[in-house]
Amino acid sequence: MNRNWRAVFKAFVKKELLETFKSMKVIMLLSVITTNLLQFMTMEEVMKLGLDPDGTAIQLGSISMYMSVILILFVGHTLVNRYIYDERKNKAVQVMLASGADKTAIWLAKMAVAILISIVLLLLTIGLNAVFVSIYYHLDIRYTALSAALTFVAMPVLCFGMLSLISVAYWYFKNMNVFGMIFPIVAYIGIWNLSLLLAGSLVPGYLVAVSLAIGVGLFIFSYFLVSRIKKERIVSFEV
Amino acid sequence: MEHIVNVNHVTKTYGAKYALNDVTFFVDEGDALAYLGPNGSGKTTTLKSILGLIEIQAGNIRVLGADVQRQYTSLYGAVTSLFDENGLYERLTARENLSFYLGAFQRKGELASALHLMEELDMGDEIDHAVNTYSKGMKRKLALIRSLSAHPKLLFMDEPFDGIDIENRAKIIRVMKEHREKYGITMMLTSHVMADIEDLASRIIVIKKGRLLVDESLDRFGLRVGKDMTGKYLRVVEDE
Repeated sequence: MNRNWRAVFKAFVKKELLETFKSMKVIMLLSVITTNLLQFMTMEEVMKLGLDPDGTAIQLGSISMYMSVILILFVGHTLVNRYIYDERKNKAVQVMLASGADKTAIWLAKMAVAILISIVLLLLTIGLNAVFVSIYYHLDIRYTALSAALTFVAMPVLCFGMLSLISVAYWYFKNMNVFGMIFPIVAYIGIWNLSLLLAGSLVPGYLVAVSLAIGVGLFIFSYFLVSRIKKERIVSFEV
Repeated sequence: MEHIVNVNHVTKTYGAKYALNDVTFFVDEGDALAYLGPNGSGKTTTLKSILGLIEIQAGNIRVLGADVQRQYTSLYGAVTSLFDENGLYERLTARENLSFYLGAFQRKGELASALHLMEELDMGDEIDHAVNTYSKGMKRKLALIRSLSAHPKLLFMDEPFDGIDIENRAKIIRVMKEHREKYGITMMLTSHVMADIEDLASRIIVIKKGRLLVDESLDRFGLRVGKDMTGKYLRVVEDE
């Protein structure tokens, strides 16, 4: 990763951050609010279990991992779609590739920004949720080592791994419009429904290791694919 | 002396159709090459092949001594291009677009002169407006400014004056000539407007159905038919 690579990487990071904050503030805010609304419905299922306050607090901490997945898959995918697919359609990436910019620098910069923004929004969402629980249920959410690891590390890493593979698909395939429309809806509603079903369940510990391994593996695999994709594939959208 | 661009027996097909059929030519440092041909003749395919954006089936292409099909990052900072699609970031302003592009190629110091160029081309009031508020011609001008301000060794342009009015066309040609002389930029451009070619180019190549028909200096090409270049060009492509 020489000086040229780093210059391209930095330029794209700054550009994506600037563009995102200029044009996606409303979407980001709505994502935080909507995720909290869905989580509220799941929390109501937990309240119906009639656990003692400590047990309820721990269970609420346990189901936080679904918020991670819902938010990151929705927001992360929206960002990846904008950064990768849109720029391919309007040929902005063609200019940079034609000028000798390294495609791995471009891709990693976009993924880095998508990950950074997703993490910030996740922390915001969880913070907002904690405040709500405190006010509405008069409880403090309690995280065990396992639930913290799942919520803040394992599930995000798994989601980022999935998003990295999706981003490669956006660079490789031409007709991704339908996928782009359906995926966020499926992710949002699908994971939320799963959280409703498993609201009272405890998650096994090995899920942390499995999720981390899959997430990191997918990301590395995606980087490898990006380094192998031909420029012709990336820039030819209509042929 | 090695040519700055060396296109050697290049063939590119799309299915059974030959977009480029055994094309060979070179570009030397300082050249301003006009690359002409009817629609679908292979002009854009040639430019994109030279930039490594398209894979060729046969032959090889070397730019600045490197095989661009394998080592495209060797073009970094040395080459800029302008195609039909301007490749601008429409949500950003002109200043932000230029700052991004120049920053990516470590030419941030040229931002002031790029903005000055915008003033020269009557776009000074638009510098801090989002590009999605620009007309087609304004976007084209900005894309041109972006290409020139990076001071590349090589500049490839596909129909650079598309959408630009006559008054600004003259200004842009003047600016391009000044940049070419001051920074030694080698140019290769396609255009359908012969007047632009005559004002800018020193050499002309004509391509039709993937094959080269003419490759000579503009003076020689003009001399052959007493400066009726449009007529000569049309006769060349119609005879094939």
